[in-house]
Amino acid sequence: MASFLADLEMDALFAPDGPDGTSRHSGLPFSDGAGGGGKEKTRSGVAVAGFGCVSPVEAGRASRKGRIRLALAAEKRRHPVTGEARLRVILADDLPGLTTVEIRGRAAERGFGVVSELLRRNGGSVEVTAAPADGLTKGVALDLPAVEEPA
Amino acid sequence: MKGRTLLIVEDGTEYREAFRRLTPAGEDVELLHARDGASARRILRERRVDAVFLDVVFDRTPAEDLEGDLDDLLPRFGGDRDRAVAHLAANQGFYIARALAPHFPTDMPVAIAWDASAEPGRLAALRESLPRLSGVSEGTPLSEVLAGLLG
Repeated sequence: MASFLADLEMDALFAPDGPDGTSRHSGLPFSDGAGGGGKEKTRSGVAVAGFGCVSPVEAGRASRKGRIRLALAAEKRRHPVTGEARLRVILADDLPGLTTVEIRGRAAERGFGVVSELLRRNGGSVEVTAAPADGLTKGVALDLPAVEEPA
Repeated sequence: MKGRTLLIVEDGTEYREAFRRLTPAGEDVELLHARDGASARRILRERRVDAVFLDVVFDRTPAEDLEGDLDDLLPRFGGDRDRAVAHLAANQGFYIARALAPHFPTDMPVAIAWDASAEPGRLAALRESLPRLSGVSEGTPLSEVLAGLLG
């Protein structure tokens, strides 16, 4: 069973907030912790564009810059009872917010909803998990059936 | 093969009937039959058994009688109970084998109606807890299976 952790740091471009405080591009709410008085400011970032949320064109229109710490971890494992090979991929970041319930409640044609539906159709699942390393706040874990290696 | 006992675990009677046709009275092979994991455990507590044959799909068994922890599986299926039950039913032979393992010697021959030839890594993983596990692919003559289990 192998696993690796790659730590990536990237410039992030944030799409403008919509009138309801969420991005009009992806609708993914993230708290940046800067909203005083209990009112959280929301934003969406290119960090999640890898999930197909923000197109390059849309990202190019973005008006704000920042840095997001990303980490990627993957582990192949076997189901303890059935012996099925599974692949678990975790993309982690240092942004606050986002829960498994929020992902599952998202409209199927938008953002993580697309991912969730594709996973469902292929025997996989997505959930928000604890961060796999210090300096990160959470991970989005994809659990997928893995191809058996030939004998 | 004289004086040997085979426990067949399936939610129908197809394998039992097929094995019965292969074991004329003079062979002195006793066939025991269990429809689910609980029945199989009861038989193993009460009787001496030389080998176990399990069907893998138990789609005629009520969900509440399936082996396996449904609550534990729900996250993998996004909280969808129907999909979790379908997984348990489709892999029930593995779940029953795992549940029975503490009730028979580690060198007990166990066969599951599953084509292991395409998944050697999975078979090897399963053999860590069931060392004498074998897969029975469709088309394998049951006479060979019987000889392998009780011969």
